[in-house]
Formats: sequence, structure tokens, C-alpha cells
Amino acid sequence: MKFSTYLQSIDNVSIYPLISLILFMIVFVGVSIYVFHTDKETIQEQSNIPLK
Amino acid sequence: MIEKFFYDNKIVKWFGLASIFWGIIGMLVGVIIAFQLAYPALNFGIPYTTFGRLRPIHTNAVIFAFVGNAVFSGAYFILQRVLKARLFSDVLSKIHFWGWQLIILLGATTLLLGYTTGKEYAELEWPLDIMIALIWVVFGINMIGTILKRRERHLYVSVWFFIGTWVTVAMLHIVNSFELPFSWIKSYSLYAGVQDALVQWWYGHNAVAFFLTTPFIGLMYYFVPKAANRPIYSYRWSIIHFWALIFIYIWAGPHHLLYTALPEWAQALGTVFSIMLILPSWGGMLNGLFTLRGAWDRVREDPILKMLVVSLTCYGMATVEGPLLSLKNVNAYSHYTDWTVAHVHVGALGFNGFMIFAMLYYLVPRMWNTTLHSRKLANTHFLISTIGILLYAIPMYWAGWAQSLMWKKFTDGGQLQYQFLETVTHIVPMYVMRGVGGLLYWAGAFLAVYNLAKTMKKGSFQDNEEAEGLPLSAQAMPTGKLHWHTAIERKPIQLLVVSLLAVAIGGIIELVPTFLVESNVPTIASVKPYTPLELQGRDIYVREGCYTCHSQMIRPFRDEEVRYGEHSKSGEFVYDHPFQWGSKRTGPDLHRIGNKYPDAWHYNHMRDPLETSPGSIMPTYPWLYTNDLNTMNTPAKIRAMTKLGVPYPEGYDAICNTDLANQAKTIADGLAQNKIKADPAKEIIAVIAYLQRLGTDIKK
Repeated sequence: MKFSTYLQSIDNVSIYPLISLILFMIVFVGVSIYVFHTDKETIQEQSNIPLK
Repeated sequence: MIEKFFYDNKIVKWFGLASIFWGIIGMLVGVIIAFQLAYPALNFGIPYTTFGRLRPIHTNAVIFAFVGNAVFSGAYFILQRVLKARLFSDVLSKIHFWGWQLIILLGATTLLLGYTTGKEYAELEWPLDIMIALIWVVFGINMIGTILKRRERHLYVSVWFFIGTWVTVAMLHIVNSFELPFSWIKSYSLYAGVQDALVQWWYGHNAVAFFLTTPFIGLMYYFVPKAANRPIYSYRWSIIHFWALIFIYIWAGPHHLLYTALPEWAQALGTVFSIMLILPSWGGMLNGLFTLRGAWDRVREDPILKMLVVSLTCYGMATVEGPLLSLKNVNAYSHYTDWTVAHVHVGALGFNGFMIFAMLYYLVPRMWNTTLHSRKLANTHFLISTIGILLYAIPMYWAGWAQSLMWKKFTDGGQLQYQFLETVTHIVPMYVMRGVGGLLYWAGAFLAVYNLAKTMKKGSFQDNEEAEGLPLSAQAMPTGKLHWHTAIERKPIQLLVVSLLAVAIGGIIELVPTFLVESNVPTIASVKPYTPLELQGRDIYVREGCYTCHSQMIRPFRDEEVRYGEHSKSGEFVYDHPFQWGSKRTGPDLHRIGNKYPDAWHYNHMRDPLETSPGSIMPTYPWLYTNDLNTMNTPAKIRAMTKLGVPYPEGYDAICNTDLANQAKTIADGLAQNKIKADPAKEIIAVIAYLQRLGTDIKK
């Protein structure tokens, strides 16, 4: 018997990969928007922490 | 009001020294087992020096001892400096250090003695699993405590990577280590078959991601700017790098199980996320390399920068190769071959190894208040070890390709062209070259030991390094509106929780459907639990690390079905605690070895493989013929299996040894007919019973 028989017993299993893709896109887009909205001085100051 | 305080350099020194010490040992074991594959006599015919036991020692030593100690050393150095605070507690630092070394020592000892869970990179048994969890918590408290008492408002990106590492490794270790003990040292995995495989490779893959990668990215974001004396190329990238990396990595585990009995959708998910991983990985690599813009002239001179550049380049190569290997059509060729071994070592020797050595060459002169004993020697180290990596990787790529093509080659008449053994003897010269490559890398590491020791001798170590900083309460809050992300990155606990969410969502969506499968019900009616003797034999198979060279998973390919038999079904593994699918075919697949050869063949083969298979590189197992099978623990094993849902009859534990003795006698009597005088009480009989059972149930 194939493994997929059991998977069919899980409701809407095909939505799992979709959820993952959407979640990732939300995080990715959210972080990107934030990162490119932060002002240059703040970023510069933060990136200089190891060199202080 | 500026506060004066002291950085704790001592703990950084201890972990650094431990890393070098275990690194030299772990790599030496690697060199030995590399040559064992070319010259099987080097197994010496005793259990403690045989490949199956030494290979887990090599992997565990380099991952958890060499790399682990280096990560702790680097993280403790960096945390104090970017947070402007001494570590939270000196006592916790000491407990962390000695606890970790004790785990390594006990781990090596138990593995030598054959106490293993049989799950790659998670071989340590349950008491050690608990110790690891406890010490990991100590590390976490020490790190979070330091973050909480910091004097720098913003958490530098390295700290994020350390937090991500901590929280994910904790989750992976706990989930993968659920096991039911049946004695003070041995246990069975709580999961069976397909579930065990999925959990194991979810763990295994993410051990690479979160033990060998994220902490090293944390080190990179500190040491590359330090060594180049300029800030990271793009701090913006580094933030995206962090979220993208931890978010995507956690999903990619199933790419280790392509074409296996794992559900299709999970395999596809693993592949898609693996391809997506190229972006953050390469973003990170380029971020590091671009930091050196305008400083490339110094790379020619400075061994630290050289090593960092090669380290990042190897990271880039390994992280583009990994996603390619997870494409199903590439994986069909690469899996089970030495290609994987080459891929792993480009990452381990190049990315991890060189990053560690660069870090040590940077740290030691600074903490000992001196300059490096010999820059020339460090450059020689770089050169020798780089040649070592090439000499290691190229023959292994060649061997992997060659063997895979030979496995799949059919004659015009439709027969397999090569016997399995022919494909092995063909690549033995590559194994020799790989051994030489490993030896060169090890020699380079030895030069580092000498160079660093000389540096330490000429300098004077500073236990406590003075520093100063304004307490957070005295620092003015920045004006203007606070962004949500700014709020997260300033609060370590929130950062930890959000990271945990990111990795847990991936883990749950990936694992839950598999757990919903009813593992207790045999999916194939004819698949029955192992007999007591077979179970004992299986445990010996695990003890001797047979899975390090033999797979038990036939993929649905023409060549594999012709060579080994019908492809493996998920329902056949429901009683396998732990699963033994393996990941490498140095020897042939064994899933349908049952009834393929007579008992006498196995009896002769295991005593001296050359007798039945001329040219074989398999070790001899003479002790299986002299060791009495320990039947005292059979009832406990049966009880444990029953608890895990294996349907033995009620009260079977009381009579199982009678069945065991009967089956052993039948095998011994059968051998006697072949003029082999075998003692039914010896371990070899149990191993034969197990091997003859493998993959036979569905034929009933």
C-alpha cells in the first residue's frame, strides 16, 4: 500500500507547501521593506559595532 | 557615568585550546578511516579500531568537539565585545566548558564500546543526550544573561545568529532524541521507519545548518570586518540573510530522502526550499567577500584574510552544490556515493576548518598580547591545507561519478554490466588519494598547533581584559518613531521567541503529517515484528555501525531493482526502531539481502570477507564468533518494543529467550550440514538471523 493513502486522510494536505511559501514570502518581504526603510546613519552605526 | 569592566578571556582560551586538541584527534581518526577504505587490514580485526565504530567517532569529534568548542570560543569572545559586557556568569562558563568536555570524553568512550543509537550525527545514547541538553541550557542562560546586562543597545547581527543557533539546536536535539531506554545506557528510538528517517534527516540536515553554518556566519560577520578593519559590506543584507537563512533552512531536510519511501510532497518541499537556499547563502558569502573590496592587496600577504576568503568561497561552492544535489535528477546519481562525502568535506575542511584557523590566528596573538610567531608558517599551513582540500575533494567527486555510472550501466543484452564489487575496486585508488589529501590537511593543522603554541609562549596571556562603556540606563534613547523590527532586535527574548517561531513553523508543518500516520498498524499485512534472535542481531548490526557503509533502502530505479530486488516500501519499516536506511553505499544495499545467500556464506563472509568476495574492502568481524550473545537483556528489549507499539503477544518477554535459543539452534544445525561447526550461543548467529530476515516479509 502506498504511503499517500495515509496522507489522503489528512484534510487538505496539499495546502502545507502553500502555507510555507506564503509564510516565507511574508517574512522575506516584511524584512526587506524594513531594511530598506531604515536610515543610512543607523545602519552605518550598527555595522560599526565590531570596530568600536 | 562610564563603567569599567573586564572581558573574560580565560573561557575563550579554554574553548579555543579544546577545539585544537579535539580537532587534531578527530581529523587523525578521519585520516585513519580514509585509509581503512583502501587498506582494510588497518581495521586490525578488533572492534575498537573497526571502521563502523571509528567513523561515528570521527564525525562526532569534528562536529561537536572541534567545531563545537570553536563556536563556543568565538561566540564568547564576540558576545562580550559587541555587547560591551563581561559574560553573565564565570561559574556557568566553567560548567559549560567542563560539561562539554565530559560529554565529548564519554561520547568517544561509549561509541568505541559500541553504544550507539545508530542515527547519524546523533549517535550518542540517552544519558549523554540528557547531558547535552543540560549543558546547552547552561550555554543559553550564559548567553541570554550576557545580552540582558549589555551596554550596547543594538544587538549586532552576529548575536542574532548565535541566538538562532541556540534555539534551533535545542529544538532539533530534543525532538530527535526521543528514545525509550531499556537499560542504563541503551535505548530504542521512539520513532520507527519512515517517521524516524524523516525526523533524523530533519535533524541531520539542520545540524549542518544550525551547528555548522549559522554560528559560523555569526563568526564571519565579526571576524571578517575585524580582519579587514572595515565594516561589513552591507549590514542591510546581513539582516535579510539572517531571516531568510533560518526560515528556509529548516524546511530543506527531506532532500536527504529523495526517491525513498518518504511521501512525494515532502520530497518536493525539500527540493524547492533547497533551491531557495542559494539566495541567502550566496548573499552571505558575497557580503563577506565584498567587505574586502579595496583590501585585496592585503589578502595576498595576510594568512588570516586568505583563510577567510577560501572559507567563504568554499561556503559558496558547498551551498550551490547542496541545492543542486537536492534536485531529484542529480540526486538519482549522487546519492549513496562519495560525491556526498566530497560535498561535505568542502564545507567542513574549507568553510568550517579555515574559518576556525583564521579565528585562532586572530585571537591568540590578541589575547596573549603579542604578534603571531610566524606569518610564513601560517601561510605554509594555508597552502598545504588548501592542496589537501583539493586532493581530498577531486578524487572523491571522480569516485562518486564513476561508481554511480558503473552502478547504472547495463549491457546491450539488458544485464547489469558491473558487479557491485567491481565498482568498489575501481575507485580504491581514489580512496588512497583522498587519504593523502586528508593527511596534508591534518599536517597543516599541526603546523597551526606549533605556530600558535610558539605565539602563546612568547606572549603573556591576559585573563581579564579591561574595557569600559556606558550602562544602557544612562544612554539616551534615540528620538523618532521606533520600527517594529527595531523593537525585536533590541529585545533578546523577543528575538529568541520570533526565531523559534520561524524554525518551529517549518518543523511542525514538515513533521506533523508524518506523525499522523498510524505507525502501530502494519501497512503491509505480511510484515511481522522481528523474532528475539533477529532483534538481537539487529542491535549488533547497529552496534558495529554497519549503516555507515550499507544502506537498507532500494530506490525505484531499474538498476537498483535488478541489482538488489523490489524497491523498498514504507510499510516494511514499521518495526524498525531506529531506521537503518543509511546514507552511503560503500558496500551494497542490504534491504533484500535476506535469503539471497545461504547462512554458510554469511558465516564465512563476516569472518573473512575476502574468502567469499575477493577484493572486498569490508573489515573482518572475528569477535562475533567468540562473543557470547547477551540474552539477559532480551526480555527488557521485548518489553521496550512492546511499549513502542510493536505487537508481540502479551507476556512474550517471559518466553522470548526460548524462541531465541530454538532459532539459534536451527541456524547452527543448518550450518553443521555445510560442515561448519558453529556455536549457537555466539553473536554471529544472531547477525545471520537478522540479515536473512531483511526484506523477506513482503515475499510471503
